[in-house]
Amino acid sequence: MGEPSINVLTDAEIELIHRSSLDILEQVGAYLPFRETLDMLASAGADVDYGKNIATFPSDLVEECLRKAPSEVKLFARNPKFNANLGSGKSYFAAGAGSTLLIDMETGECREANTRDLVEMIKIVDALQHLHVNNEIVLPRDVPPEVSAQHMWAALFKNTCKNCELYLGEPDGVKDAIRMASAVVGGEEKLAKEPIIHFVACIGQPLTYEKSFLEGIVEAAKHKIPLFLDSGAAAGATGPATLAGTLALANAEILSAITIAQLVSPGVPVIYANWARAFDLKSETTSFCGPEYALMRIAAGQLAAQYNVPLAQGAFQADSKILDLQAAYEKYIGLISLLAGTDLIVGSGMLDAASVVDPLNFIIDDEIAASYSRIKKGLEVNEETLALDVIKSVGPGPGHNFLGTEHTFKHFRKETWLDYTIIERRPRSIWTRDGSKDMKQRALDKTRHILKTHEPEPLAREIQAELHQIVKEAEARAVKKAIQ
Amino acid sequence: MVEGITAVGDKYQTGEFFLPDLAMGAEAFKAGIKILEPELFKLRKERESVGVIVLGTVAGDIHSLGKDIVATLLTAGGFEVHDVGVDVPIEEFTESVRTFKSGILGMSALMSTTIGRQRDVTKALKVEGLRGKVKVLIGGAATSDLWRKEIEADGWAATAVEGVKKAKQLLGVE
Repeated sequence: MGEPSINVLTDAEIELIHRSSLDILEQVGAYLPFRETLDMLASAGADVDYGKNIATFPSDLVEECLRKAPSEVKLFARNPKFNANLGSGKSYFAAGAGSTLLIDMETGECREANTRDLVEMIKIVDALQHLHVNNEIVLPRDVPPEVSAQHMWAALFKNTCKNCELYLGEPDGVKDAIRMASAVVGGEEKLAKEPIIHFVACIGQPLTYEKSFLEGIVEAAKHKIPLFLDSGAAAGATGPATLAGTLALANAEILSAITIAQLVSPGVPVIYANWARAFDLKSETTSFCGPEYALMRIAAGQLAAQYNVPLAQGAFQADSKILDLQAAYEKYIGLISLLAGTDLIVGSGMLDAASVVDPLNFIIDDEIAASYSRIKKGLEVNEETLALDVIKSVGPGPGHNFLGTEHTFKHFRKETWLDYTIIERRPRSIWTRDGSKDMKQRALDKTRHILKTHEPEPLAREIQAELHQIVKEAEARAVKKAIQ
Repeated sequence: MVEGITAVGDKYQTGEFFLPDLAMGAEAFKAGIKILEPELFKLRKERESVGVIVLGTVAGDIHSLGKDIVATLLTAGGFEVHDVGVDVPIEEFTESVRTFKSGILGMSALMSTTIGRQRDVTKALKVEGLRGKVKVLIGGAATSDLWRKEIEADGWAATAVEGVKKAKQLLGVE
């Protein structure tokens, strides 16, 4: 069956970018301010300059580590219905993360969020059937920033049965996250086998790691938690102005992270998350959905396919400030990412370059994700689907049609996308009768309904108490640190 | 059997079933009636119905899909439906209304070039002295409530589901 796909690089060009990335790692190397990582790389054959904290990576080492990375990564969920098997050929969708502001669904105001808002966002994502991964959607301002991560994680585990994407921070935090997730699934061993979390590890540019990243990666890899290794090099600012150069740089950064992860724990599941993009020198912001972004999604898809590792890319992240026509247009990136073979399409719900979340946006993205899943399935051509016998039996003539045939009955549900909920296709008279609502209003109705009716699968009381305890301990630690 | 087709009709209205499900249900119902008809005739029992309706697409128009759906839903809703087909001449409509003593005449017209026939048939019913005995219900993509008023029909429906509701209202059974 023909699956739709899209290409922008020739095989020779893929090889050129790959070689260029290897050259970057061999000739330039990466800044790695953590003794343990430098030692580990040195003993694996890398050249290390301990004075500058820079290691250069032999190409053989990088390619060997790349081969150790599994081609499939399974993201488990408390409810197995939402397990996501990355690398299986199916595309999955994830909520966006890290916004600092929220559009209030009742007033339309763009404001800071609190824990209650975060819980509502998590619940909405939990209820939507086509989003498989929940996230640290918006930063709650009613908790101390030193422990906001722990508060977000507790909120996530209590309010979603889906896999959770957590941001990799300092090692104490990573330990907290692993303790929490272990409590939810029933122990560390169980978590290593069926991780209900994965960590996003963002590499700094250019080729610059933070100490906490390197410490955290050791902790996470030890527990076999999948690592979402992310570079967001931006052409013209944190990367060369040329798209190819920025792609090669971002690719080098991700390859260096894969090398480090595989050295720490061979076979640890990694996700190739290429966020290479362009800096817009006109508005002096980074675009999350321009035409260059589209080209880079396709190229990244070809690179990840070459490496045979699961690919995650951002999509649905509009630059637009509000949910308007610009936002709707910018969602085309989701389709490009899908056609590029992306396994995990991340970023639903986000506006204004992933700095603002609009709850209605989740509803709309969920609907779009459903339609994209139908596109991904492609179209089947064989004797049965060509339906010559049925065409013969119906025959030409007025009043003849295919509605009542067994063939239609047998196939229509899987051939046509019918499980949409807020797309309006009914006759105008019916639409008018029901209040002439536009898509935003219909999304608002559905959001209100979800918040009124959706009850996330509850966690046992003891588990909730344990999560609470871990948050309390983190708070005590933060206080102690502040006094010191 | 009636229970079955009613359940299909209900599920269609709630969005759980789609047209092909409805069509399958109608086929099964028709097949069942064909077997039972001689027996019913022997017993001189007629199906209890909420009303008799003659249904067809006007002359010059061969669209049948919407009309077929309405016919199925009306059957599911307990009506005795006489579907006279597509491209139906004026006289056949009036004749059928007389023969079947129908309480409603349903006419479908899909094109702006054929909706005029709905007016012609309504006028013909008047001439034949039938207009007082039968309610006229119209539908089809080219029609509207404004058009209903203009041709002095009794009801207009935008969808099949609404068509059944209107038919029941016109006969005062709902």
